[in-house]
Amino acid sequence: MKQKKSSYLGLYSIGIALIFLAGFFMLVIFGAQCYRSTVMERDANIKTRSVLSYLSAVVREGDSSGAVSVERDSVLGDVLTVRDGDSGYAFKVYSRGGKLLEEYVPAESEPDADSAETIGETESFAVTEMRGGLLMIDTDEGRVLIRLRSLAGDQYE
Amino acid sequence: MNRKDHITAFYIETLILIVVFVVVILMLTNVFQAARIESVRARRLSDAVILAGNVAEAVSWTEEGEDLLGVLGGEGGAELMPDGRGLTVYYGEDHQADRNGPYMVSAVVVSEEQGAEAESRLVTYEISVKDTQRGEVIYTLRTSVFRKGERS
Repeated sequence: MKQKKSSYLGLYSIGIALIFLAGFFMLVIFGAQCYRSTVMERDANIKTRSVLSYLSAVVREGDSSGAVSVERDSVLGDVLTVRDGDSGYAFKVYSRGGKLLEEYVPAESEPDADSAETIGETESFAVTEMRGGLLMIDTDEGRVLIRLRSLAGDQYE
Repeated sequence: MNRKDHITAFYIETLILIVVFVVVILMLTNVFQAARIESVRARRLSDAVILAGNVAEAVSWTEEGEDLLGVLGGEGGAELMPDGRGLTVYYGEDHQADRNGPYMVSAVVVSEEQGAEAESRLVTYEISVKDTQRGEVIYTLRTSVFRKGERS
């Protein structure tokens, strides 16, 4: 009788330990899944914000008469050029190899992707100039519309 | 304390431990879930800010309905309001116009004032982004546009 009671107690202890173990494993798995999901959302958020906000900021900063233009390169596709005042230099933004690149070079020079800085990731980069000074930039992260205030007067002429 | 008392005390302590363990698991589960919800909310807010900004730029560019639909709506994702004082655009997660998308962006004229120059107007729009699934407004902004000429 005493042995039976001891075995019941032993089984009970093992059962409790197994419950704790199962609970810990479930908590770890659930926590890891939540963490992975949170990081994925954060990364997607950062990618979208960095690319689109950067494009908007660089165009707005250089928005003066004739400063913003789009060139078509046979290899790189659309190249967004934003002249830096009267310095003779310009920011050139384009996409190559799945990356959005930017370089600060003399305005009349050809783009050199090897020396450019990486801003973000995008396979597609298309810039459309609408009449009246609206710039439409399409990337993998979405579209950003920028009205060029320096050309705003053209709309009503 | 005899053996029976020892066993009883052990059972009671173990049960209390299990209860505490379950409470801790529930609390941590809530924390993880709340973190994930906040992450999703942050991304939706970022998307809403970008979409609202795009609509603000578009309405400042023109008030011609067809032009607005062209740059904002693509194929069937946008519609003008019947009174002509605004428009609604539906966007998907990828910021493409999508009537079944989770984002509904509406731009409505809230005021139109006479400008300082003759035949000029100061038009104020309220642009709001709504989550179509939850029905809650995610982001709102107001923008004013100076327009020359009468409304067409």
